[in-house]
Amino acid sequence: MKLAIITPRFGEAILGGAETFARHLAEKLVADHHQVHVWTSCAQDYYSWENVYPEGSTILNQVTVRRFPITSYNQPHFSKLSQKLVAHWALGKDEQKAWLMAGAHSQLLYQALAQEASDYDALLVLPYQATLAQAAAWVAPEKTILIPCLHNEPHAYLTLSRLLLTQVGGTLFLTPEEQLFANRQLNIKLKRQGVLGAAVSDFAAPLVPRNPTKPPYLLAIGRLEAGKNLGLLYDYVQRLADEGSPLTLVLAGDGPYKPPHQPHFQLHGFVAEAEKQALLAGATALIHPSLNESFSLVLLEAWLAECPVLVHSQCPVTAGHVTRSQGGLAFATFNEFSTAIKQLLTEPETAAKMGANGRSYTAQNYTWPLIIGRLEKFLQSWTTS
Amino acid sequence: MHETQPVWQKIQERIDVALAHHQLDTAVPPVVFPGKPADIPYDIELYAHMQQAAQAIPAFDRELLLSESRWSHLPIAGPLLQKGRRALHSIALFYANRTLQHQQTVNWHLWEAVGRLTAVTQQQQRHIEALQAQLTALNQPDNQ
Repeated sequence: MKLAIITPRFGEAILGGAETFARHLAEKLVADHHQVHVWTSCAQDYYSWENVYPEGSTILNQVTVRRFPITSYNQPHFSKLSQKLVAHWALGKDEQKAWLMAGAHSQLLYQALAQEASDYDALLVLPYQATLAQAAAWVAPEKTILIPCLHNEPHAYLTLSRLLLTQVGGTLFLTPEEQLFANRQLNIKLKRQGVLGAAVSDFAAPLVPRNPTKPPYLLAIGRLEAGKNLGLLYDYVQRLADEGSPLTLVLAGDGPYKPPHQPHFQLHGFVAEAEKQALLAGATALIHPSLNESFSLVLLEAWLAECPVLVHSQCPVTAGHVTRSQGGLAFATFNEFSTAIKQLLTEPETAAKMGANGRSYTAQNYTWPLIIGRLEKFLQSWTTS
Repeated sequence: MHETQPVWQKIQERIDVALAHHQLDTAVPPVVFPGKPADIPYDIELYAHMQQAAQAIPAFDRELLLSESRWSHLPIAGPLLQKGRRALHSIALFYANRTLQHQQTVNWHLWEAVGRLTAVTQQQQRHIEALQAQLTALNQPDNQ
């Protein structure tokens, strides 16, 4: 099949969940003998949208990448409307159109896409929240399969976002919870839909043998943002430390929401793959307290390393993964958090079993051959209907 | 700049047509605190109470608070007395926490319900405002 993957930012230096997924998906589709072109912008940073990469076609890990410059971004207006949206969970229709217009766009990408969309069997567009992805999907909605990466967040409730979901040719979700959210909570009727799932890397034996260390530590991986519910995590770890627990929190990532300057918080910054594997091997558990996720690739990374996970029970997606896999524990209150830690520390066999359960769940549901197989089946039934 | 681009105009036309022809069912966000609406009249008291509740709901103090008594510093008997008091307090706290946890669940559901109702009220108020505007327009002398 000839496919275009349209995503606002693309490259090995771009760490967002949707962007990483798009990159791996493109590489795996090419390896599976599909003709894949990635359509993206020259930007690297999603705050400034400054054109960094050169315009034009390049080959990255055997994937053809077509880069177009960002031609407009009204940052002050976009930020103002985004702030209003986050505060009120709503914008008037004219404000929604102004929000879309003020966001980052590449008119050259839209023009080229309008001319060439018919050359492709399908246009895979992600994620829905990016204004460039939304506009690109409107160029040829009947050809577009949207991989929205939806969260329960204000942007999802915008009429424009919901309307786009109903107008595109098909929608692929990453989890059953995301699909349920779109159908029930967003209350929309989709033309064609399916659950694709996601995967992190080739399924192989853990790179570093599992060996939880003493003193024990919890590992958090990813950008340090308040939106990831890190405030709660910092509070709970602090309270454990106040009670005399030797547990520390190791943070592999960087960002504006840093932990307090206390010895039981260790900030490692972004780490290389080898260091990440070593940290996962030694961790009591990977902790992911976020309340809003569309998939959480980081859970799969932990499970590939046979590391159990701790998630927030009010996040439907991560709690759903944990319930289905039995690969960890969920918490909301401090009592539940401290009981979970106690169980992981005092019952190492149970913790090891959770890690093994998670690995087996990943193998049964989220390997690349499975994902590509699902996508091919969906596209075949879509193109023949 | 956008206006000069034909593809961008096409995109906007498609959006306008879809907005005009496709009526979406209502989707109510599960807001914790809906925030005061900027575009419609609202009940100031309602939002004042909600704001206070938002601040008060998570603030349960479930920790053991054991102050020292004047007997605490007695040699030998003091630490024993303090240990006994701690044990008694822990039992009381155990039962209080159980009740509190139940109450917190009730509070949480009530809070979610009020949040949803407020969000629905906001949407209905917007509908009313729009309908009133239409009614006013229809009652203009030009339309008669």
